[in-house]
Amino acid sequence: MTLKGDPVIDHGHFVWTKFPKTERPNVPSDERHIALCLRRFRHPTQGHALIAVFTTTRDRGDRPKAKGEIEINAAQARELGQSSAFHIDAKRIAVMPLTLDYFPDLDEATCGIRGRSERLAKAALLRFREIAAETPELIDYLGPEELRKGIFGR
Amino acid sequence: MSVLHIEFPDELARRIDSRASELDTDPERLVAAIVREKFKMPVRIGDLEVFVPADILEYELERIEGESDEEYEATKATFDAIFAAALK
Repeated sequence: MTLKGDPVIDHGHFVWTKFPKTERPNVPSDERHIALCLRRFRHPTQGHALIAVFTTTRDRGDRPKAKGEIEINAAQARELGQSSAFHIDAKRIAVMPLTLDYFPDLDEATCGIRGRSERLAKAALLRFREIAAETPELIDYLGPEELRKGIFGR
Repeated sequence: MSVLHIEFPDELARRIDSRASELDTDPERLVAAIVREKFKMPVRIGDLEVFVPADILEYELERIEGESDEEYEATKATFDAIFAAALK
């Protein structure tokens, strides 16, 4: 299913997705992950595509903070509508069509949205921009091949 | 591989030139990318397989309400730079 018209999900939204995995970049993951939507692209006949970065609640433990990571503590997370601390990984970026395959709660009233922070979306885009300029080899470009190569060129 | 010579109407040629300039790439490379996309067949320049940029496919970066032209162009330039780097 592809929604027509202006979608609800927009930049800054934290939203449930089937964020593609690095090992299978062209297809939706079999797991649900909350992603942070950075921007939307619009096609006159094929609907919308969203660019989003990966988030995870997995504790990094003793591992040093990696380039491109933005850490959100539990208190900040609650303010954003999340239930626990998490981090945003600006190195894992996907372009996903606005379909149920990639946004599994799209047909629900919330569309799977779990909070919003335009400030964090801007910050993540800035981190992505810096890494792309300095160490582009660190970035995972994910999403259906045609969209991915159309928007990211790879 | 065969070589074709193609003549474009002025208006299209200008658009291709302008977009190639924005992406800091050769118009020939951009045309190869478009051909590849439309015919779903690999087009190579040297060892490189090329792809078409999103806005040629009519995907357009949506403007955020209240966003200044400067902010919008900076974000668009970010994605253009990512694409242009992949063309090189």
